[in-house]
Amino acid sequence: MPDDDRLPKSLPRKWKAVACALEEGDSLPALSALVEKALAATIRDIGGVPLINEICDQVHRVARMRCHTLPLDGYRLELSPRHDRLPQTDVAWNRARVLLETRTEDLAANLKDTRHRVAVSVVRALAYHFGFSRILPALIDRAPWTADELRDRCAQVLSQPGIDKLADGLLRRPDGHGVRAPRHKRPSVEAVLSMSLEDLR
Amino acid sequence: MNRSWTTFDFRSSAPMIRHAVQWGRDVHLDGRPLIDRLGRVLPPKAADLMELATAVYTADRLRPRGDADAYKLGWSRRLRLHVPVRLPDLWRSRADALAQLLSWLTDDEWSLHFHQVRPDTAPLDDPQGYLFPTVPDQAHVALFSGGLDSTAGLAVDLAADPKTDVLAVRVVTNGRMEGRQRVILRRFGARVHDCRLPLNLASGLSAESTQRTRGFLFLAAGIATALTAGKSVLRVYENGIGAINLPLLESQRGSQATRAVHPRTVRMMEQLATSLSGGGFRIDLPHLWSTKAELLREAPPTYSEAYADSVSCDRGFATRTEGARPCGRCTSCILRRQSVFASGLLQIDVGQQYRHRLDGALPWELRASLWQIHRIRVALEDSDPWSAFLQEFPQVLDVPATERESGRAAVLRLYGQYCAEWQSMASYLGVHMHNWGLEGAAAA
Repeated sequence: MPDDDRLPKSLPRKWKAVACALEEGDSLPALSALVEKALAATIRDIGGVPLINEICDQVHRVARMRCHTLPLDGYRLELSPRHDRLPQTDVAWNRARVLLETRTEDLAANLKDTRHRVAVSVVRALAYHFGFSRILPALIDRAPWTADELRDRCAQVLSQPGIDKLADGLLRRPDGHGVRAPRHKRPSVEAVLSMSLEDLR
Repeated sequence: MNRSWTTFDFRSSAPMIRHAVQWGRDVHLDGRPLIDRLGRVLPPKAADLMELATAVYTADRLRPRGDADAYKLGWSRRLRLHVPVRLPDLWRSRADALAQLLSWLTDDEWSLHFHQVRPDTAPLDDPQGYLFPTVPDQAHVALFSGGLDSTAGLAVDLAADPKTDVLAVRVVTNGRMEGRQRVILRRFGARVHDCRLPLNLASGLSAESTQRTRGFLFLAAGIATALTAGKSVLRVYENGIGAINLPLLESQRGSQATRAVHPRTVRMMEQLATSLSGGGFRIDLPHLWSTKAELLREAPPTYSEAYADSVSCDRGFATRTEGARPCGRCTSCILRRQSVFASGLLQIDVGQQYRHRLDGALPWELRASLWQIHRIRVALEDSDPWSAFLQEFPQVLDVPATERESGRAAVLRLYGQYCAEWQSMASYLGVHMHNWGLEGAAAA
């Protein structure tokens, strides 16, 4: 039963700029730069995801077991989540569970790729947990886009190479200390001329 | 994040530490109405369980969560309890399982320590014996909260088996709740036996409003009553959407979407009850695969006045003010209004007089609900709906039934139905269907 459920909507620092950019319909590069900065600040502020490497390793191990062991009487090896009461740890275990259900063979292939895949998924989920989901429901009816379009916009932002770099940064520094948003070069005139009109908005 | 433990000691000989809690002064649990109704003294296991649940609930209310920061890093607490019980060895052997259950319910870390209680000092001790037990042979035990689901579920059970009585178990934590529950129960007549457990915290003591241990308290009361009455089944009336209670927003973590009667909670409580009973014990969620609107459509019209009397508002009982109107926009009110509209039984809410309208400027709670419906709709329209649903709602994997294909199909049907019901509700509220991506939302 929903019983005094809590619906966090207060925006951590730097996410207000993201909200404004979404509302104003800023270009994809501009929006991406703001989101990456907000995510990096969030990862630093919350102390990273201390268990990220342990989670990745466990996902890889369980995926390998699932791929290489015949199921016995319906028994299936599951993750054994270790919690530390931090919200980002809950987020990370949840993403690990989803990946294990949907991409078992990919995760079983090699540990390095698994770590990257899980970390990217976790960083994207952190963007929703601490940012987008506190912004988007309030923007519908106000922003130039519909719910579908806003989600597509966020998906585009979270598919940028900067997110991969943040994920790698998190893997290197699980406590979040010193994680920075990747630098963006100012686009050349040729690049600007070749951009789609939508991205220039 | 607060790393220190807060200790609550419920022993009458508690050392002079900061959080000594005294039965009768700080927290009052009155077993007399239940004992008199059943004509039986609670067996030691049942009395221990009920007192333990009361201690857990008290600690939950006394220690505030430090969740003022935007990241909510202080949501989780560390709580250590010293609880006097009649059977300390039995409870020590279950301490880890209990801590896991409470951690699942609250996101907190629990450390439970059990001590031998002094004779005749526990709140449920009762020296009086009873010659004639008053439990009807043909009766089952059910939880009763005074909400719409428990009222409708009770009516469904009474109509389904006219020869069976129901022991309706309720934990009463304030006067307004007591009065309203009593009014509703009277409408069901003599076949419903009121099994009441009053519980009060001393005025001004409560420092935390989230009450994530309420589910444990209510289920414990149901199990304790069943064990006392010699029954091995407890029925819990809750619709599937409310029981599973998937988060409305991605920003919610764990128990911020309540897990009071989540199927996993029920399974864990069932395991605890089984270990206490010495035989099998079952907790039924008979409406797990129905939406709230479907449950209402199943409920017999005979008891329509009882449905109208029920209270769903999260602030409804908490206001403690007789005649206070439901807010109309908390998540519980929204789910009730949606279900009443979708069921077509509008007369249920004719007298509700909600304080807030839902049309016009959309409150955050309604926006969050629409956001969830939007995400459900997108997932269900995917070529692989189960994987897409998982991506949006990983928490669905906590539902034990999803280990099986049939359980996954049942989940998708349930949320497809819910999504379709919302489509008509959103249209009625004047929500821009196109903006929220709700055009063409269809049942799976």
